[in-house]
Amino acid sequence: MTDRRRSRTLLAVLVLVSLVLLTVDYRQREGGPVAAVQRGALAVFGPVAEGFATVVRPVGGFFGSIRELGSLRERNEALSADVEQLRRQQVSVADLQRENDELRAQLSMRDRLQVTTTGASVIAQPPSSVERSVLLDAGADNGLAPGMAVLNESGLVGKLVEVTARNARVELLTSPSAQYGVRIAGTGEEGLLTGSGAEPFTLNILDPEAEVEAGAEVVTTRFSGTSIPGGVPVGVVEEGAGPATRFLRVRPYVDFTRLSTVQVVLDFPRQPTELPTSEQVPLPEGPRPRPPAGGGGGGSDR
Amino acid sequence: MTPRLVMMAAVGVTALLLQTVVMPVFSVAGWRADLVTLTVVAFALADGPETGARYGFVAGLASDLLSGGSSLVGLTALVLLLVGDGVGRLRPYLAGTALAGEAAVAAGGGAVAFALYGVVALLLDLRQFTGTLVVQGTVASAVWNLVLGPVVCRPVAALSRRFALSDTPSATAGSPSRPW
Repeated sequence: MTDRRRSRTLLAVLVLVSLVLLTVDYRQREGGPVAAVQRGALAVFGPVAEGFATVVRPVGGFFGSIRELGSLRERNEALSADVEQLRRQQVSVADLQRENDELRAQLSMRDRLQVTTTGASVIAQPPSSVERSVLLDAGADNGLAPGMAVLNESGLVGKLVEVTARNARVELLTSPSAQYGVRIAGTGEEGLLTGSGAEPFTLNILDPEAEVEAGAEVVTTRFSGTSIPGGVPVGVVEEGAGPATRFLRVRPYVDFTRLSTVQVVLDFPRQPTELPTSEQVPLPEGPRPRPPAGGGGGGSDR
Repeated sequence: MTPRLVMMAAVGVTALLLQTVVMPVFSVAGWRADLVTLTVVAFALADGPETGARYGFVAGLASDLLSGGSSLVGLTALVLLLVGDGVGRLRPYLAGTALAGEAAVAAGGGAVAFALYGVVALLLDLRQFTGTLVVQGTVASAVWNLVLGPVVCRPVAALSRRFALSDTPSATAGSPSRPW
């Protein structure tokens, strides 16, 4: 009976103390003595908990890892997706770098040829795999016109054959229907270059007596009726040829399977096929002018 | 008396440290086991209502003081002393149902403790408690304590027997009336 009374008394006292603490803390909160005791208790318990955590955290981490085994696959997949995305971003950065390098090289080519160009991107390959043309994202609105030469950093790509307001189609140098006037850069031997699809170009040397060495560079030459500037690199002769051989194989500089950006030459005039009559200079009246003394071959009046 | 007090303090501090450092790792949907309440239930089951109430009050007060201002000091103490006293009074009815009884009482004690705390917190507009949160927490506490009840109660009971008061006649019989 005494124990029961003591137990009840104890319970009542503890409840009373709890209620008093509750009331004091509820009424005073941050500024009260209970809050001060609370801060002191935290100051003591904090380092203890920190030390305890140092000891047991690896153990807890181990068991936590076991518990997370089920979700590890999902997290792994999510992380793999992130890695793939980052890899794609890296690739796109590399692509931008490559494009930047291409454009810089194309500008260098433009400066060397002393022409005005406008840049364009290749936006589509032809639907047919045998068709040798590409579509550009620039057109008449950008100053493009049929016949204009198209270059990239490696050399001549082709010429425009169709132009709309916003797009243009380039007939590639590889097209069998295209023919360009070219010359051997080192010797000046001229010829006609014809595309052969996926095969190297065919070069028809005009001079049947000419000798061309393997590795000779082939560049464009001004040709009547075209807007192709002279001196644009085209390719190299694969095999040398003597007087008996007129048709040579020329390996192109341009990789036609990897065209992404090109430059279209805007200001190179079409070479005339005939001299316009209205612009011809009339014959001078009076005696023909004498050639300068000592000049020329057989111009002397001795 | 002193070794027993030290033992109970050690149990309480260990429970608090595990509760604050280790248990967050094992939380399920944000709910974790309440080891402090479990030790209150364990001491109450082992030694009776008086020990349960005293230990519950001290352990609850320690929890309140270490709550960092998120709890009203005295609230957990009040709740746990009532749970300790109530569980201790149930002890005579649990004879012969050791494992299932411990688990059931631990689950019930945890549920009551959380529900009581939640209701008072709602009344005092404390910590933005909501009715849904109280119900969820009550169920979660019951489930956690159901699982961990025997795991905690058995060692605590063993410690209580090991550090029983030798000057109390009933202590030697395994049922001390005033163990603390």
